Amino acid sequence: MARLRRFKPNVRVWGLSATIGNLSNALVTLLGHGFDQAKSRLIRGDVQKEIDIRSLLPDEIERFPWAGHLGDRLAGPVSKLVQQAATTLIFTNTRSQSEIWYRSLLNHLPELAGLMAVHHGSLDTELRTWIERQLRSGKLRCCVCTSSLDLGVDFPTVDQVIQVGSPKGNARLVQRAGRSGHRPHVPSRIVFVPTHALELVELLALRKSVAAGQIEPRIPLHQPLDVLAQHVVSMALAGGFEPDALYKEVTSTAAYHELSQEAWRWVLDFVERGGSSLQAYPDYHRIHNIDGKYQVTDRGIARRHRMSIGTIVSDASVQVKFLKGKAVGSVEESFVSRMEAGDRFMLAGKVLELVKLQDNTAWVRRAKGNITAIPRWMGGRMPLSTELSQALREELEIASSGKWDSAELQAVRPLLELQQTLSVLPTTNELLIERWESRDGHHLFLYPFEGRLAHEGLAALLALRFSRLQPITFSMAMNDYGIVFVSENAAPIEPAIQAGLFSPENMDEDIAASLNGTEMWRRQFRETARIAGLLHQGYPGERKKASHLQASSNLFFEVFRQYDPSNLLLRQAQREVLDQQLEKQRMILALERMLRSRLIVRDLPQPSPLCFPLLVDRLRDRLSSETLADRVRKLQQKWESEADRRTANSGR
Amino acid sequence: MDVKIADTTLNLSADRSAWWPDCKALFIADTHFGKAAAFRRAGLPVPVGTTTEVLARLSSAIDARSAERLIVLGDLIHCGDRTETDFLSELRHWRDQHASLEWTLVRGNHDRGHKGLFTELRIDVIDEPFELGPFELCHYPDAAPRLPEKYRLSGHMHPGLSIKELGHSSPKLPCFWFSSNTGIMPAFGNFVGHSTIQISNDDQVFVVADDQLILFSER
Repeated sequence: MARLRRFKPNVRVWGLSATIGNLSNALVTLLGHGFDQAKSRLIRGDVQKEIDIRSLLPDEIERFPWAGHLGDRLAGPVSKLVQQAATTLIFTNTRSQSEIWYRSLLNHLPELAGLMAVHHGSLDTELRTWIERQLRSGKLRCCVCTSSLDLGVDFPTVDQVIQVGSPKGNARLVQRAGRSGHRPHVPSRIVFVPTHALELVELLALRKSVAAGQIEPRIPLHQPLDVLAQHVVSMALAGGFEPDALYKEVTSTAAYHELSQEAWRWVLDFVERGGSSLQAYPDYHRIHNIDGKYQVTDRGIARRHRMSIGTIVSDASVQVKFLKGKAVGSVEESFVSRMEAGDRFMLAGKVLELVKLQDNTAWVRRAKGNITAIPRWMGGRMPLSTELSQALREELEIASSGKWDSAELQAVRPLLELQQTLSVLPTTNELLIERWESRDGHHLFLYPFEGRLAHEGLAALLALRFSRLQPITFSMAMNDYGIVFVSENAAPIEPAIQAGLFSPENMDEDIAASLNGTEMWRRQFRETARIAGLLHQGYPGERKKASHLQASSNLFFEVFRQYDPSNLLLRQAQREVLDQQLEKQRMILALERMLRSRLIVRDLPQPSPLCFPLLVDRLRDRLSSETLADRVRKLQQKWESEADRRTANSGR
Repeated sequence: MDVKIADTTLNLSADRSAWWPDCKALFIADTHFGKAAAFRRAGLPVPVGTTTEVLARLSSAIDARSAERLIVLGDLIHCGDRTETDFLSELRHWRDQHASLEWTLVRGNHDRGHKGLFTELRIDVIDEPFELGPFELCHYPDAAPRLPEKYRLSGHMHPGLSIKELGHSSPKLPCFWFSSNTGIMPAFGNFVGHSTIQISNDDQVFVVADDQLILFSER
């Protein structure tokens, strides 16, 4: 936009959005820093969109919930809903889930074969376009999809939307509900299908905060240097640039208006010389200064750059193709590399048998029978949003006061009451800590209800602070509700809190220290490295990758840390982990809240409903999905009967 | 740390080398000299310093054992590109400092086309398999055919293992991997990747974690 404005200063810009909470922020992002207020306008439609959120209540509630298979059990009732509607969109949160749901719905509704489809981002574009066309013309009865159909598509024939699993945020729920009744004055309807019982409480929270008009803000990125490095090379390719003019253009945007001359110089040096001028990168040049104008002179570099323009980063993927040549989609390299010829997996709703892996392509044929594995794709699992987690804590408080005033609360009542029997349902100003000892060690459960990512940061921070008090090693797991620390010896929680476990002092330093060298930093750097053009991915259709130029982002991470530690891309990745991934502000607010809260420590006689999913998450790391389901079922039975015995005893 | 194979003993070290006292020989594999330089020439920014570190580590490995012989199990040089760059002068300088060292290279897939350089550095280049005592020294772990009654020691694969920590997998750590008839050396270079290995029951795996070796074994 800044570039367009330079060419045509009075260009008129329109932005449209239904689901952004911070519109004034969006305005400055769109129009650039220092735009003319008088010439801009924010228009809000005054159509009150009515959203009807219903939930599909399971007949029976598991008091020890886990997000494993409840969905499957609800496939029967969901298939009835599909039969009653003309066209149904079913949203799932992950690509794997969409494949699983497609299969189990087809089992329930064999007569809809050919009238049902699955749609997600890892399917071949041609296939996806075809499905979208079919949907638009009303030729499909049902499509199971992911966020791939969240935006930008309008299917007038869709009269029913189903959401499987918690959407984790208000904006997403509104967005998806809006796929039905996509006209003014027609209410949007969405049916929510929980994948475990506690999600029903999330739904209540969602319903209230959506009714209150709360929509999550979308915080624009601040000075991403990887994107700038890529842009600079693109501009050098697009006829070349003069540095001062480009600096002026770049700093007219909202994201970079605070970009210092120093940081700008570093980015220029980075693409011209490799690093700051003091750092030696002999023979390295991506752009050259020719008579005051920066340009790309090397054709190989130009070609590689053109192939990797963009900021959407995906993992190394392998094309999946039929032997006859038609493309199906792609799976991650790490998934397919574990498979052997003859193994069967599911993609695009089809059972495929791997024939061979060659030239970065998985060649497959159609097959029948049981599948060996379902592909998993790394993707952003969205954490519970701030708005929603606040509403969730309020819902739990309502339940703890014994008001079962909705069908959903009634449905999860057995679970919540068992939580009260075995432990406590925390109110909004209480912090619950549960302790439990098993053969695995001492478990310490903490429930901030701040979303998985903030919990990941909190876990690292608290573990670091614990270890300063006494040498102790933890293994940890976290979900949207809480964190579990497991250690060989009991962790002294009360003395630790006394000694400042939640203290705001040295927070910044401690958070940075707990992040040092961790997986989170590396993960974020992978994205940075890709965008800044450090990784050469090979060309599409290339038979053999230029393997002598292959290096993983981890390798770059290590060499930078060792030989160029002031590299700003490292710093950027670190900052992005803190600000976006770990939601540092949210962590700090959570710690403040925890410090203010009344502390309740409970020693559990057996696992409680709240801690059970965390125990399952710990198992998940160690077991395959089939063994896991089996193990969890046995544990559920065991704790159910223990719980029954306990309630019977206390009733006597 | 000692490992007993083929009726003899190798002394493994966290610097990723294996010392064979019987022959006063030091084994290493996959140094991939010149890889960083090749990246830089292709417009991928890799800072300098990787070669220096590898050579310094190699020097102290040799000095610590007073090794008389250095045997590299392939992929000494990364690229076929013969452009004059810094790493070559570093290599020459290093050779001058270790003038009396007997230096053997079992040719790897990356080592083609450096004849002049190898002569200049006085490196004996041998095609696999190279028989030495109870060993059959190769670059490829699965090169065929196998010499009977010999234990194969090889490189090429860059074996690595990741260790679970805090619910996440650590980055892959280089390792020595010994099965009943084949041993695979970790890559000695530092700007190289590692590939995850599938261990079976009788294998012994020595993982390099910073300056320590950790033995993983079912036995």
